Amino acid sequence: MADALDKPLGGGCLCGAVRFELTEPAHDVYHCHCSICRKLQGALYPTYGVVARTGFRLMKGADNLTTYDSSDLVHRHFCRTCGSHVFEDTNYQPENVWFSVGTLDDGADPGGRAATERHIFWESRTGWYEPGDDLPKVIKFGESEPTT
Amino acid sequence: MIPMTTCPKPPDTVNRMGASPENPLQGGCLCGAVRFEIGAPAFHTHHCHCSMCRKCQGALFPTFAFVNRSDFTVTQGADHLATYDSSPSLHRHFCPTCGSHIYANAEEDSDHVGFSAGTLDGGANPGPDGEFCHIFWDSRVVWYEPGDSLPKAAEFDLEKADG
Repeated sequence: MADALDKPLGGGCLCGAVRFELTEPAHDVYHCHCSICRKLQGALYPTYGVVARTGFRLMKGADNLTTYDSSDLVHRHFCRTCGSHVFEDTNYQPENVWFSVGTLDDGADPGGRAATERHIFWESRTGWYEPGDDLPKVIKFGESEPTT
Repeated sequence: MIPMTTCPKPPDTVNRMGASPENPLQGGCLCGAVRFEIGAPAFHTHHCHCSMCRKCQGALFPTFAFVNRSDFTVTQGADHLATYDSSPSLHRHFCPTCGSHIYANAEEDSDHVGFSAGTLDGGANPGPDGEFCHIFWDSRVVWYEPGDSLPKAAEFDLEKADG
């Protein structure tokens, strides 16, 4: 388990109906190039943080979330008012929460990047835009991680 | 342990010639309830780093492609779309089933539509011969830079791009 943050990081959807707090930093951060995430968030590679469930607090708006199951095992929660994809649960790792890093207030650093930040599903990226950063590029998650 | 992998760049075979009325480019939300097509290539595509787009779509910089309104057609699910007005004049349309943000339209620019480039089928290039850039670059997160060589603009000025 990661050390607790000195001060929780706030986050939420655009309209403010859904709010959450991170009390622990993410322990895994990745930029996903899979076709599912691309369609779901309309961006070329959405960025996710993985945090222990004990470090993620949904503060407001649980009843304003709609859940879309992109597979039987991955449950993605978005604000039904503004459509922001805020976080997701998986059956693979019920002890963790995946959150959309872009929903952190003020573009905050989710933490945990030094050891983990990478591009995943790199082979699924578009053929027309190539990020030029020097992060690792991997084909898929580790075996214990979700694949959809 | 994260393996370091070098992958070849995937072939840009989709829409190499750009969309046309006879050969429109298709797109839609993840669940398939909403489908659209463009009958002309996008003339401008930008990666937006503003705080609103970041929160709205949850990604660090959503990508929007612009076509003339007459070249953008919602072919399925138009009556299904939900709309969120992120300002009185900017209307963002998303699928209420899966949450995919499909397109936005601004009242001050009724001639054009900006759609989420990531919703094109097959990761297609929205406009191979159009302009590509980053906008609201100064609002980007301080801890990640995409590291490409595209122009970086502080604001968004479609009039300059519409040529």
